[in-house]
Amino acid sequence: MSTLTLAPMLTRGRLKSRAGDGWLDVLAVVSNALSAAVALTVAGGVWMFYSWWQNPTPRVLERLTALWGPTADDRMIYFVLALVALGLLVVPVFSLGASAAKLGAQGRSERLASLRLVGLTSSQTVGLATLETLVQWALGAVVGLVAYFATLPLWAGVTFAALTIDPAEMLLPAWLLAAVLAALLAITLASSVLGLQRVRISPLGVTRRQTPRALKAWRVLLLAAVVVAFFGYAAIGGSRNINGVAAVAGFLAITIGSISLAVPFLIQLLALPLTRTRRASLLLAARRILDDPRATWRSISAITLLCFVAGFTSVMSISGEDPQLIIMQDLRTGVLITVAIGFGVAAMATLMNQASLVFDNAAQTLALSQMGFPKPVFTRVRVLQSFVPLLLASVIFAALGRALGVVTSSSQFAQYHSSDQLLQLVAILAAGLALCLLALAVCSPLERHVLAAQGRAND
Amino acid sequence: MNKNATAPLAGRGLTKNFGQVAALRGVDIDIAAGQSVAIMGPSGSGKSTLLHCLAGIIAPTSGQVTLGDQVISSLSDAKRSRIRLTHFGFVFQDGQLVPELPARENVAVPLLLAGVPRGQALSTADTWLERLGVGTERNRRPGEMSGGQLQRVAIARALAGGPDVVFADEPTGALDQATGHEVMQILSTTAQMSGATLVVVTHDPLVAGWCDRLVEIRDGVIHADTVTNQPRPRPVQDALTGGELR
Repeated sequence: MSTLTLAPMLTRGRLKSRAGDGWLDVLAVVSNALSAAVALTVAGGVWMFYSWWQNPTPRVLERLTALWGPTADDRMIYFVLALVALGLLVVPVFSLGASAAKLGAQGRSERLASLRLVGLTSSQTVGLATLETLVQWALGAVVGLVAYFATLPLWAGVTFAALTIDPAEMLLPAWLLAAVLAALLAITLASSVLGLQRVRISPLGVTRRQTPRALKAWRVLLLAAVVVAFFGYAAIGGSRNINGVAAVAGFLAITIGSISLAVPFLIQLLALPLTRTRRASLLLAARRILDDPRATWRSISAITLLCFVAGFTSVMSISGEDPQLIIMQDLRTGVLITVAIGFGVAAMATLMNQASLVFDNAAQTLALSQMGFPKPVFTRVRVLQSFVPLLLASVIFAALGRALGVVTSSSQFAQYHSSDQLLQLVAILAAGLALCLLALAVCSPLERHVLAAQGRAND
Repeated sequence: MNKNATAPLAGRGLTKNFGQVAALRGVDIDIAAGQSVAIMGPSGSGKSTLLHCLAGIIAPTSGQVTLGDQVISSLSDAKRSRIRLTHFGFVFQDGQLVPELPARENVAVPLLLAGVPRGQALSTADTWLERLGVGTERNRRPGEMSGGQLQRVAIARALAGGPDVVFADEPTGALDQATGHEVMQILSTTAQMSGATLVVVTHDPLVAGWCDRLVEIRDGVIHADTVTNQPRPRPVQDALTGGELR
């Protein structure tokens, strides 16, 4: 029997399976669809602003010339900002596609191993996995493509430079559309192979079975050194020399890099005392966080950074005809859109990762449930383990961003600060976090379904 | 909780259907407090289903399960969970310890869920780990222990709450014969010492030999029910020292 005939047969069987394996396929397709739709939409936005810079329509040219001047360089600012937004979203979006592929690979690993045992060659197994990944990706890409086109008209309600967006400007040329999809496909295939390897290396999934080494304090000391160096440099007037894209990018890279090193240590520092709790769910969650604080940070870092930027720009809500005021308003609009997309992606990633854990830990959860652990304990562990760090980090970094925004805002804008902007920030954070909580809530019925399916004793 | 096991366990007219499949067909069983019972039978005979019904993990399609005077089979899922947590202990084939928790916390977690204060739960856990010869492993995680040590920790977890009944589902299935023999010896002797009833599902006649009574089940009905009197091959304390466990 060839791989081409075996793959659809096995997929059909899995979708009908009582064990809920079909959920993994459905989730993988939905994630692929979301990552494709978001990637195409973001690329569409970048393309639109590239066109504003290089090839503006008469109405855009007229408006931008009136605001900033007649040359192309005068119009470049929106393209640069769009690239920044792209930079903030590219990792979580591609990670989502990668997670989908890994999840699919995990779902298939046991079956593929069984097929190896009954005589399929290694290359046939890899071929089967690749084919199934391709089919899942293709289904997701088609849905994502439809969603991209279907949602384009919605952007007509958004304004930049006091111009409403013309959705046609966000329409990607065929070559760029193909390039975005090709990039997604490449990452999906690579992740699928890595996902299978991970399962092969560690059939027990993501959980490490040995006591992890504690992270060391040098991580925080490094961040402190970077902060001291920055303020020292600024104090001697050196910050005036930080000009140009490369210098700013270098500064940002050092800052984000040192934060990314320090925060896992801080997460460990916060989680450790929680292991002295008398609440079993908190103990389990704290131990799981301590198992790999870097993984906890990885799962929240992108959204945390977005929250910081959203907090920073929340002091910039200004209306008026002054070009400086318009660009600030646009910056804030762009950030809010980026944060909204970021939370959508984060919610889907949360669902993917937690659903994956539900399947990985099914035997363990079933045993604990049989011992009498109340089912709400498992939900509480999930919330404490994945949502509480997200909640804390989002709120803390948004507050830090806003504080920095307030401190660094020039006095001429101070009069425009109002509680309305704070409310808007709070509202988008609350909505985004609620979406992530909803994604977690979906895992509880999935877990019950998986446990019920596994509950039939093998007599 | 166990107060030296005064609660007999009984099943009356137990049937359990999974769709069209009848896994149990009118099983009657009485297990005296403190007794150790092995349930044997071929694959698909209904032995694990019987254990799950008796333990309140699943509700029978008809019939009832009682622990002492309390009918547990008709309780809600949440109440049956509470009964399992506070009155029963469980030992699984592959231990099923939580991989992220050190041994002492693995033993203490069910106690915490049952409402025991943290200090007392950890102290009880340490006592049981010492008693079972794995006290030095208390801060190790499951990945750092051998199969025999894992099952000792699992037995400590099952007994630390002072259960009326300990249910063991193929407790030696993942171990080599010698280690399995040791683990079964520890399980039966510690259960006996703490006054708990022991119900073991097994394929292995040597494992069943450690129990006072052997119930054989076939096609969902009890085929044979015999009292055995196997001599204990080694002194209890010898088994608890852990010296020969791998």
